Amino acid sequence: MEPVTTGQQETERRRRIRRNALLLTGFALVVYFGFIVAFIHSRS
Amino acid sequence: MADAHAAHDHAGHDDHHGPAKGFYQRWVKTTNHKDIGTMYMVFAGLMFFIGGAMAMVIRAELFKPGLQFVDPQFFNSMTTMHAIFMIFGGVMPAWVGLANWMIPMQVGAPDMALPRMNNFSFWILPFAFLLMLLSFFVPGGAPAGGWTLYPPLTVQGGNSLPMAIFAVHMMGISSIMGAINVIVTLMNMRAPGVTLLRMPLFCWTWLITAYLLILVMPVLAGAVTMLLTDHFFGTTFFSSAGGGDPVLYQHIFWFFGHPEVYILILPAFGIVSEIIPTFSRKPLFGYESMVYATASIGFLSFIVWAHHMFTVGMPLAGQLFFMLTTMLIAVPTGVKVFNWSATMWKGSITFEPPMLFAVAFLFLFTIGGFSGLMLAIVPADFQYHDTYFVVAHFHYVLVPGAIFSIMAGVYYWLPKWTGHMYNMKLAKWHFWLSTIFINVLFFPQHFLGLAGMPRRIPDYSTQFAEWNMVSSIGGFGFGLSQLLFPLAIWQCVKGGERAADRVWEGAHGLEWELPSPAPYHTWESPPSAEVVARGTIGH
Repeated sequence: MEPVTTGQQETERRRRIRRNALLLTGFALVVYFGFIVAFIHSRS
Repeated sequence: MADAHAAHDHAGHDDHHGPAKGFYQRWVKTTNHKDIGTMYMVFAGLMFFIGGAMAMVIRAELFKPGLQFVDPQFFNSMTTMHAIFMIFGGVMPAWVGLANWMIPMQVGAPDMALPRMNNFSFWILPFAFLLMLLSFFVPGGAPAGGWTLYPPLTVQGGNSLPMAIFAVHMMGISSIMGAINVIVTLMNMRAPGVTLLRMPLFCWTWLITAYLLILVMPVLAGAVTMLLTDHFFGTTFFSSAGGGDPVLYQHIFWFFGHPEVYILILPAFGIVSEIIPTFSRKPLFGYESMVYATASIGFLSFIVWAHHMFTVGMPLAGQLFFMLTTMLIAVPTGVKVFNWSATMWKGSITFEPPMLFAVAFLFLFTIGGFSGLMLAIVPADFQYHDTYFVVAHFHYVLVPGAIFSIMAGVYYWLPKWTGHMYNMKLAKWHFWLSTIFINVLFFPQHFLGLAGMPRRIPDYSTQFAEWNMVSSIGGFGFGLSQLLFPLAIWQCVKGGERAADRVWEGAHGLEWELPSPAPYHTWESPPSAEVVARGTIGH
């Protein structure tokens, strides 16, 4: 993943930053809620 | 270096590029990575002193047998809050502060990838810790069940439980946002030519730390949420009365807790890997093996958690698995210690304060590592568990490990941040006093633990009196000598001999291609291929 700095590539980089951040946030939320739901399921 | 200066001359003439005026605009609303890094560091420093004051209460109470100063409930609050303040308020924010300051400068990026989130992740923290402090004033006092918040003890506590749980959630959210920022920055903001395997080790160790954070902080948040529902909403996740299992909590907690230990120490490995080559005037020995060793330690940290709880009982196969995987960690750690030693071998070494702290790290962290190996042996752990031997072990790993490395990092980069050299004599006094007293403080705790003194008790049998007194004297000495640290920093911020751009003769890295003090905005234009080649040549 080579970094880029100009023009259209800069727009592409910003899109990639947003996508990375959203993916990581989503992952953290899935672990958090998934974890609790899994335990509720195992106890019911 | 001319390229770097030329890039910043432009910024210097543009009034819009300086810091905003007024406290609110400059500090509360800032999105500048250096400002946010500074706030994190100042906050961490404050938390170190609050957590340190709690440690002084603990050592004062343990100075001699009998109950002297505080009642047992308050003593338990002190041990609990000392840990929470030092881990979540001191070490972790200090690392995030250093990451904020250095990562963009080291990879040739103008700022962190998500600057507004960066601001938010910092400003959550003061509220989280204010809430923790306020819990001292509610009926029942602050949490006193240990930083692990084990049920059923914790859920039997006073009104502070929901405050602590909300505060832990806020700390977790802050850490996760900080980790996302680091990952996204390192993956997307590196200047052309700064490939992953040309990144400084501090960036590499932080990248792996950030992944650990994202993987485990939600687990801790999930565990404490279940504690909350057990306490207030009638669930029985961890209550055997309703079919739950308190040992389950311990598994979940340590699934977070062990990687957490590496979250605290991996960035220290990165800093030491920056400092030792600089002051040995040699490239780091085995750069790539350092990266792979860090990644291996990160991976192994997920499969060793139950070594914290051998004594709760588990099948023999489980004991063997967790014992052997724990011992396996010694392999990549040994690679690191070997590489640091090999870097110094036949180097042209000088002992400025950052190097002194880094060398002390190498010796003392290794002592902590060895006592960790002893604790990994199941039958031996049955003897050592919950004794002062464990306290000695993890303090050797965390104080001369994590905290000395933070100090080393501050002494290493402070001239770059402020543009001034600090008082070397004062910094060396700080080092020698810290190093002597830390050993007086923690080494006797090995003897106490082996003799059977349990952790988390305000009173003890008279057979433990002598070494406790020695340990307390070391504690007071260490605590007092830490006052030299803010003094040295304050003097350096206010003035002093002008620092060169490449502050240390043997330093390599893009941050040393920038002027000292580093301008408010750096690398607005990416560094040229020539600057990148020079700035990353040390690898």
